[in-house]
Parts: sequence; C-alpha cells; structure tokens
Amino acid sequence: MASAPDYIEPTVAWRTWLVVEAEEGMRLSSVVYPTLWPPRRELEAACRHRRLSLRRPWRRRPTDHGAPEERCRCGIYGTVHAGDAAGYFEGHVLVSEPHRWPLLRRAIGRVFLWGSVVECEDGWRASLAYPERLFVPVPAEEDELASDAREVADELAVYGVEVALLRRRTFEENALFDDRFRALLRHGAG
Amino acid sequence: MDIGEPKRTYTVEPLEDPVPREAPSEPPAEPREDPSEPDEVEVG
Repeated sequence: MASAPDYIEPTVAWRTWLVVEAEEGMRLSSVVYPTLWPPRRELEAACRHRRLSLRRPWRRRPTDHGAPEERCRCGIYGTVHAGDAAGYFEGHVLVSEPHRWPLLRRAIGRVFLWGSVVECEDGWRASLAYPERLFVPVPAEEDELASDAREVADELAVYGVEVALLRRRTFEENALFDDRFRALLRHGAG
Repeated sequence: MDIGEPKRTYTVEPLEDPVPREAPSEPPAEPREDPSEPDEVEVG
C-alpha cells in the first residue's frame, strides 16, 4: 500500500539556469550538467554518478538507486537563499560535461521541487522540478530598452510561467534578494 | 552547487499540478455521415 506523502505543497527554492539556443528554440539548461528543462513538463532527476568497478576499474557502472539519494549528491538542486543561487552567475562554475548549445544568458528564479526531496542545510535535492518564475537580469552596463534581455524573456514564455526582467532597481527594492544577489548587477550578469 | 549536508528526506505530492501543461487539444470532429436513404421495399 502506498504511504501518504509528508506534504501536499511543493517546496519552493532558488536556482540559476543557463539560457541556451537549443535545436527547438531558446531553452533553460542546468548549469553543472547539460540538461535541458522541457517546457510544460516536469524535469525528472536521474543519478549521473558512476560506480567504480573493482574488477574493471576503467569501467564505470550506473548507480543502482533512484534520485535523489541522501548518501549520493544526485537530484535537482535548489537553494534556500537567492544569493547562493546567484553565485552560479559567475563564469567559473565547474561543469561536469561541456554544454553543446550556445550560451545566450543566464537566468535566475524560483523552482518548484516535489516527489522525493532531500532537505540539506542550505537547500534541497528533489526528484521532480519545474520553474515557478524566472528573472532575466539586465546588466548595469546595458540600456534596459536596447537590451536583448527582453527578447530572451519573451522566448522563455514558452515555459508558461511568469518571466520578468530583473533591473537594478528591482534588486535594490526587493527584500527577497540579499546583498550578494544585489551585487550581481553591479558586476554584470550577462 | 553546495547546499550542505543532508538532514532528512521527505515526500511531496502536490494537490495542484505545479506544471502549466498545454491544454489538451480538442479531438477533430468526426465526419458526419449523411443519413442513408431507406431501401425500397416492394410491397406485394
């Protein structure tokens, strides 16, 4: 018999995405793994880690657990604080595999997490996820009206959620964003 | 992404779908057949 869930509302977290030019159009991609987020369909986690084979150490075998698993590091990530997600705007994030789609911009936003959820000290790892709302930052050096951020925001409407431009003023007025997050636009967020 | 050490695992089954799915498109209307003419019956 299936057991009752612990919660009936999704967990809401922060995360950063890459905005890439995929074959089917502008899409969100995870930052660390080259995973496209499908529009209007949940993203389902899979463990990408590989087990070392003791007999044949040059071979790696898939893990035998579903994602997320507490003892692993798998799952779809989200952070408690916007500032922690904003750290992934910087260009020196370690990626697991090269992305094959041209990078257009980065976006930040809130994400629904549900299914099986591993709660961690500063965020969550979940089995299912979908964007709740998206922000496309307009870097300080760009003219708001001339910026192609608006075009990016329009294209991301394919996800069917609220998409907003994130202007410097928005950062400074919005209490959701901590100092680290506000510093984003001062250093550019493209 | 560094989110710290795990504390616990829980399950979530949202009452409402978090995904704004495409509304299912209406199935194409089936072609209407014209009513067939009644067979002629010879009356003896």
